Amino acid sequence: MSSNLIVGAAACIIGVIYTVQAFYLPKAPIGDPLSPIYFPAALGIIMLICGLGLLLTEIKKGVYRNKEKGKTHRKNKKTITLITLTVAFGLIYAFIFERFGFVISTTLFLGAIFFLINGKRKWTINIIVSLVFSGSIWYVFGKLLGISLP
Amino acid sequence: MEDVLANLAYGFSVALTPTNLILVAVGGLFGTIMGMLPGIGPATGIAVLLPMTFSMNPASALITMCGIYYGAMYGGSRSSILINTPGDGAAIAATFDGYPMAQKGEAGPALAISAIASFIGGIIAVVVMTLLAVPVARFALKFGPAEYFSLMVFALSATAAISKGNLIKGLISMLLGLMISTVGIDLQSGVPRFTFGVLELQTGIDFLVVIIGMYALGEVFKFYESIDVSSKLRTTKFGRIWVTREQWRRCVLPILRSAPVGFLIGVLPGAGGTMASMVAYNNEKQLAKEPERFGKGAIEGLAAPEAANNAASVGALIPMLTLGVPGSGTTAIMMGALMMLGLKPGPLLFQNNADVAWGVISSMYVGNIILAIINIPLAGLLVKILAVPPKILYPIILGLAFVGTYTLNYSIVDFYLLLLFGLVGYFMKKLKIPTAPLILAAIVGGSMEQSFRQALTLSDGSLKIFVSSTISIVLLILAALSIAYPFVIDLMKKKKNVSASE
Repeated sequence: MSSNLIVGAAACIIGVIYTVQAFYLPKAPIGDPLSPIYFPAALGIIMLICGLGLLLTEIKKGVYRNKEKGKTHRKNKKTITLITLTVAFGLIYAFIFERFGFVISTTLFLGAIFFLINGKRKWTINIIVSLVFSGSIWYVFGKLLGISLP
Repeated sequence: MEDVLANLAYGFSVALTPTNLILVAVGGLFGTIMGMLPGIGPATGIAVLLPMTFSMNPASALITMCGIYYGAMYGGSRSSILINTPGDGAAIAATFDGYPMAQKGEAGPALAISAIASFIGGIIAVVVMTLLAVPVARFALKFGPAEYFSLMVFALSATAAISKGNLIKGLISMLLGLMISTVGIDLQSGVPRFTFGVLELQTGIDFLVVIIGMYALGEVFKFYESIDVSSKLRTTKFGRIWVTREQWRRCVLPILRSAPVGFLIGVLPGAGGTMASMVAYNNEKQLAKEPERFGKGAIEGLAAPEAANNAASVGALIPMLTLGVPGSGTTAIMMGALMMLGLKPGPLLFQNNADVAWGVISSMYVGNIILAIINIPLAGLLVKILAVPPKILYPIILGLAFVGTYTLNYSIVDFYLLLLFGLVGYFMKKLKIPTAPLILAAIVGGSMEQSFRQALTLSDGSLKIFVSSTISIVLLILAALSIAYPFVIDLMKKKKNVSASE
């Protein structure tokens, strides 16, 4: 599927959901009760129109090419794994950030990312950079800039 | 004229304080380093380094951010020349002739001329800005809500239309940004919108989180695709980093021509450094006596785009400072940061916060000189940073992004939003949807809706108010033209093809 088809379809879906949600928004207690709704409703509808426009122009062009090759596929798979893991680490980081404090959670998070993309073999660099980073940021922010971190 | 000089003198009294001198130098240095990293441009650079400015006063904060901004413009071309990898869009044109020059063993002159051209382009643009800022701000005082709405419509539609690729995709990106801006409590009616019962969303989605997510995380995710491709720095030793008299003679006119062009393009909403440098490059190629030299290491082919993109970065500050409507992703971030510090960029800035407005303009003179020093004598030292493997640098960017996000609101909810927008940014890049319209829309969306409704309140609900003043009509026509423009180009191309095939 071409990227434009995906974008068009996604825009249509977002447009519909957003418009429906917009009409369910609470009414304003004073003035025109619909005043908070006009702008979002217009956005949703224009989004739907844009999505349909993109879909139609793509279908008219008649592009249903399937040109995915094995090599790019494997590369994509690796990228997706890396991104998924990074997001997962990010979620864990968010979870432990205030519980463990800045320095510990950040060292763990960065360390995990380093092991993920820099490899296990360079573990010394990974650990040193993570420690130095979180330590120095904590120092610069907390002591020099006066921004408190947990 | 005397006014201008008096203002400038006042500005220098702000810019030349030791603190601000150090800040512009530090900002410029960090900006240069950020700019050198492949994929990291001024927008990401400022987004990541933003927390640095939170404890500063507005004038120092803006001075630092401007330093990062044009520092990144200086730095962007370093990696273009040495490893054929542009630091950001504006530095792409520098690869055309810069890299061939380096291959021919002329890395020294290439690095030197790109810094010299950047310097001259920057200074010319600052002089023009000094003269233009107050008249533009005065003109903008005439704007009411209707004019502001039309101006924002123009800025957004131009950004959507100009940003590379498909117009409809640009519009979709813009609509997404506007949708993001509708989250939170509606300021006029007090009604919560799209908060899904999440308390933290009531104050809206902080667009700085959107920016850091899309630019910083998005870039890191994008880097994952090329993680195994290593671009090695061939050498960190160059001959003298300076140009010969002959080389200089070739470059003078192209630099002087390209700076004003770049400045003008920078002022336009949507068009920024990338476009300025491309236009300047193509101009020079067309004007050249031996255009075949271009692409094979012609030094003027490097000088022209470098002068243009630095001039553009200064020009881009004009709409943000004087109108309060940013015309690019980078200036949008700076405006966001200023608003966080309690400042409202716009026509009144030059009256109410003259120290900020003029301090920044004056600091650009100083900053350009400092950057020329950083980038010419210290170039050899600086490019060693390119030898640090990206596998170390990108996780650090990631770490900075999270720290920066946390310091915005001290809220963990922003981490989830950061990850979400990182993914959005990555997939938008993957699906070739321009990101600049989204960023811009997310920032001006709120005030755009407010001015729309204020205008309607003034006119008792009649839409005629948007066509009742010349300024508003002109702006709306410009908006319509910018949307129609790609279609016209398409039609013309088709006609050309038809007549060519006949």
